[in-house]
Amino acid sequence: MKHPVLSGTGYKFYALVWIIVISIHASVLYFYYDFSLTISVIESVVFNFLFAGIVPGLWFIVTFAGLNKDYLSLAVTHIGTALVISFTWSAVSDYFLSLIFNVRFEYIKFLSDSYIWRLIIGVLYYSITVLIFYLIKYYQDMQERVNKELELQTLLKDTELRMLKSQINPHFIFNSLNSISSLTISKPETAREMVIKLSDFLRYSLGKDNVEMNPLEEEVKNVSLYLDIEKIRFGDRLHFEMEISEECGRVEVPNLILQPLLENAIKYGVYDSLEEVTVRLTCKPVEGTLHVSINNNFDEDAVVSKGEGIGLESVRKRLMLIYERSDLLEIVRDSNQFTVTIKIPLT
Amino acid sequence: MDKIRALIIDDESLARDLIKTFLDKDPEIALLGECSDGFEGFRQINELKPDLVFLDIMMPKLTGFEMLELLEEAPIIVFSTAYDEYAIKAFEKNAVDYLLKPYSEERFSEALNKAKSKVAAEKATDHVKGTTGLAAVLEEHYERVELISRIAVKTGSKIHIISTDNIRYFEAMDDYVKIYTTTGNFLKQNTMKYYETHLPQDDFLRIHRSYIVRIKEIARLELMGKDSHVVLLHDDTQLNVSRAGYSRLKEVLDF
Repeated sequence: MKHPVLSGTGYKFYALVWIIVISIHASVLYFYYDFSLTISVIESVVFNFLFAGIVPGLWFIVTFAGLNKDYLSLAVTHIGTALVISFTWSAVSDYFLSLIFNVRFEYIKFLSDSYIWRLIIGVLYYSITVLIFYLIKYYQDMQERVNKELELQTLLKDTELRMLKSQINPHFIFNSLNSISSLTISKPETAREMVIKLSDFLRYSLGKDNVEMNPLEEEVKNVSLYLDIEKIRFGDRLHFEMEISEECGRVEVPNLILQPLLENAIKYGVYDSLEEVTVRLTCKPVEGTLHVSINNNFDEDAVVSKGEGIGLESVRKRLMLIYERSDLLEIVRDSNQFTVTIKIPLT
Repeated sequence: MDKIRALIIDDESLARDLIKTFLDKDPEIALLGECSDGFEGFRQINELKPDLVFLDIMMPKLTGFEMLELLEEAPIIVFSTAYDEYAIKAFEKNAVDYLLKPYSEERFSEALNKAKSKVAAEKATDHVKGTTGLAAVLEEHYERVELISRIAVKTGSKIHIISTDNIRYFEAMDDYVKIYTTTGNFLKQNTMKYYETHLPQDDFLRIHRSYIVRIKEIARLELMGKDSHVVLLHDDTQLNVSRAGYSRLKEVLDF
């Protein structure tokens, strides 16, 4: 925990406070009690300087006493310390002042007459100091808690984002490997081509964990690899068209955001359908956002089995966490066309 | 000796090619053909009556399992799939083997040999059927009931895929279950117990030995006689409610 006086620039403010107190003290003696300027200043400096030296030590009493949950012993600690400090302080300052002004009788008299007041002022100073220190401590504790909570939230968001990031469907990999196994017999050339595409795809998808944003063109390149592989597997059943302008390609998008959308299109368009399917990837800027759309036709008679929309839901959540907006994913389904649009805010 | 008549059902041509290549090397096998989806597979099996079928699971429209359910007499099945999570279900369906894609030629030969001896055994004993009971034990052990979201039924030679969302209620009929849907009624050879456990508990409720009903379809519950109840559906269909069904209804509908 930071010491409010000794660490940072706290001492400047602390010195200023005591200069003010010393001035007030001296003024009271000079104007109200009609002492000479020398006497007023010296008494004020001696008294307050001594107390100013004690105060930083009180911080430790506050922080250590703060650990004590028992209010009674806390009160006893503070009252005891207040009395001990006040007595010592007034005794020591009295001693010094009597040494300095041993011939000024009117002052020595004043000194002994005001002894009880000095004790009270000592307790008052102590109380004020402790009160302020408690406030500072409370503030510091609170800030620490807030920081910790913030840290925790960031951590949670990071984890959630990682979880939501598309994970490569293992069945896709195993099926692709099986296709390669088959191609090695019939078309070794194509097998080699597919191995390379699969490797490139895996390298991109597995290695991009640390970069949150990527240019759209990079993402498009990667999903093209994915679609090329699926095309080798499904041949004529899958067609792919895309229209991405150079300008759109430069826009930064969350990494691997397109993958689940295309997987979804393939799943409902190709895996669940006997007809030919065309997957179309298009992109256009609209009012401060970039609309990236993936469209596919599907068999309207197909009764889709379970698992619908889990991929899309995680894309929606991911966009929400990144851009803090919930309207960035739009799904339109009409008779036999399915279109998913993600809207990337342009900064 | 007769050749073993085999059929390949897989939606990926490359996967079919591989099996074909492996089978071509075996002189005891006569390949009857290949199918690229469950519908065609169903038709070909009924028409050609193969001894052995290599079957993929995830295929468009009709999965391998759904196709098997529709067959009156199933041939010997070797599953060939990239999904390892269906192995238990596959053995439940009396599969001789379960090949995980991609597989080696050795692994394939192993499966093929198992299948051959099974074919020989079946030919010798003239079709011995029946489960070993192993699958049931396995399922109970793993307690992994997978909820269904669609049911494949056939009327005559037509196959229908019913989404469970369209089902209103089930009625037991001896060895069959009659499924009442928004688009018509279908008979399916299965048990009430199966549907009771494989449908979403939030949507369907067993109200009687003979009835499972979609909870949303229930319009009213009425007292019939001294101690028995009936539910009335939105179209005024009356279904009996057993005592156990009544207490389940009470719990679900919270009255």
